[in-house]
Amino acid sequence: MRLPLEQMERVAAYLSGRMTPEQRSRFESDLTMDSDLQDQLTFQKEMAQVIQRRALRAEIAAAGKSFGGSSGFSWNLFLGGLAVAVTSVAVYFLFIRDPQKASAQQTIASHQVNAADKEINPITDEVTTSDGEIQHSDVHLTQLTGRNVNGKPGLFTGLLPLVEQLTSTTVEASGEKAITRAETVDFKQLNFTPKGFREKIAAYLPFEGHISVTPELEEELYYATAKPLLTENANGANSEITVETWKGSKQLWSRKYSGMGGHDRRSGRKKETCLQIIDAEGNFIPGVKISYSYFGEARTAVSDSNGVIRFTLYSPIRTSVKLELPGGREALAEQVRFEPKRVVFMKVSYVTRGVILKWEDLSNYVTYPVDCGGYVDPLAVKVIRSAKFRNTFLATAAFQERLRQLQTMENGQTLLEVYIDHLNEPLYKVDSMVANLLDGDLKAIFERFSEQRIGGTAPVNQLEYAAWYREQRQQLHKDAYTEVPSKNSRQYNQKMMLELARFVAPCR
Amino acid sequence: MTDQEIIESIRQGDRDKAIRFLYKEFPKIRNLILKSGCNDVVAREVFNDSLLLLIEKVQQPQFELTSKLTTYLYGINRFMVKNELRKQNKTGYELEWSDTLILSETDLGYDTEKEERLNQLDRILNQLSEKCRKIFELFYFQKESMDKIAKTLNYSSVNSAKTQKYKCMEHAFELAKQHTTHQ
Repeated sequence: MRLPLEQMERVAAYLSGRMTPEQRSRFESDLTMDSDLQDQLTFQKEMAQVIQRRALRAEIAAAGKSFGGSSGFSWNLFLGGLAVAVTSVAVYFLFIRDPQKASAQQTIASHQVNAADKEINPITDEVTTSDGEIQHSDVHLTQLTGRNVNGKPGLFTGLLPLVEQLTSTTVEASGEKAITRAETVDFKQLNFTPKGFREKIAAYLPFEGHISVTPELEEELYYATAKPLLTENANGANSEITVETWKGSKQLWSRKYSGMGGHDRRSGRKKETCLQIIDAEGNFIPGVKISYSYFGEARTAVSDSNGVIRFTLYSPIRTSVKLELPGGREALAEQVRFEPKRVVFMKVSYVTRGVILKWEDLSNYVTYPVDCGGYVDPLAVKVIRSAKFRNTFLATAAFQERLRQLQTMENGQTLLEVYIDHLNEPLYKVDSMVANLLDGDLKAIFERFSEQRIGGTAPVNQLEYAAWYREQRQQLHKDAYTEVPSKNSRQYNQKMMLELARFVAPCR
Repeated sequence: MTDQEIIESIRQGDRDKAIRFLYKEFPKIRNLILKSGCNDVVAREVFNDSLLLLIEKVQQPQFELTSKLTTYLYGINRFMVKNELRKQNKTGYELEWSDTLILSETDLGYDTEKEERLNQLDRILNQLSEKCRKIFELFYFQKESMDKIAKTLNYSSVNSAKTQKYKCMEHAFELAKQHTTHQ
């Protein structure tokens, strides 16, 4: 709804007492008739109060500074500082599929320190001041140029399409000079966004051209981007996930420790330790599930939006850690040492998902026609054939045709997920989306699919379905073996392949 | 400072001295809050919010002091702690507060729904640009004229400052509308 300028000015004049008695009585009589005017009055009144409160809060906080007590603490800033001072770096490479390769990897200490220095730079949406007051700061477009943006991964990969949108929009700013824009953004790196995403985001976008990051926005962005990027498959199916770990110093921990506030963990023997998971660019990875062994007991935990997992220990432990990344990729880090009051960093550089087995790997166990490609995860196929999806286009004969095609393509699994992430769209639209991600003969195939103009089915809760699919797929992978994390990766692989073979549906 | 002096200085906008004076009660009140089962951060928040409420009350022209100002401050803190504990689903013991003034929501004119709305607006304010916040602050808090605002913020004319304010307000209003319709 548009808000008339005149109405707003009247309310402002009324509130500030700049009205003649006649104007005032007219306004008051209008007020009884006009509910929009009432809304506007309440709104401006409350807005004025909020603004006054902000200023008062600042005054109070300033006066209270001298009265000691614990001050607030920014976790992000802490990590920034911590990363700079990281001294010891241990690098563990391991790829579940290929344990022999893992042992061949070497430590590259100095390089990693530099990477950490550079990347964890606190561009943050939330800064806690020394008064313990949380302030939200704006993230400017100019900070989003290039690939090496820092911060939460969901946030920034999600913002890139927005930048594109902004650069193609002229913003009128009433006599003000126009916005200075980000110079260049590499749009080839863009992820596709789900339906309605931009519309949702537009509500959060002030017209001045920079973006205030709010918790709501962040959540939206996270969900929008919690899916594998197409570029992850860039190096083909043979690429690996590598995990590197290093740990922070005790001194730095104590800084964080005294600032946490609220819980005095100094008493008792139980001590907190924490693990932060970042990607190759230093972005925090949320939603990573880790499984590790704690004196023989299998434990799991999930990283929060800062990529941090916190847990308590009685004494140092050394364990293998299995990571399940959002989107079903997995990795294993062996011999990770956790110590109380120390932070362990894990850097995950992944190019493709870890446990997708190529068809040849299965050929020892089952025989299938040679022309039937194996790039789609059989367990994923099992999931989409479950009853949950029977009302979607995934259950149609037309889709089976596409699935057969996908199985022959190297990035078939990723493209399958494009379909799963767009269950609300008509099938032909998703076909053309997929076609746009391809080129050459393959593009032509999907364009032909799209030309069949096969529509969609009844609307479903797309996010829920996509999440369910990922959850189920992960569960199936987990069920496929029992020892977590297995010390003998070869044994695990064999077991895995046997299990997979059971689930594989013949492709004819 | 006497109570009357404090009230006068708050009403005249010379809050700093008054706040500093009232803050002397903080260590004692903090202990009470900690004993009620809240942590240190919450204690400071509660105290700051109570002080804010007190200042807002005092600023109202119809405000009349019926007890000592510090007694009133203790009373507000007691009320806020109870509120906080309710939010956390805890039932704190009120034993510590036994010799403190009991204030009800009506005594304080505290409206939970309104507070929710104000918090919502505060979040909306975060979504606005720095420029918008600055204009609002000058206009609503410093109560400056649009002429002066245009000069302070380097606008080319009063009209462009007005347009800017209008745009900001419209944007904020729309965001607020969206939130109410979502609920």
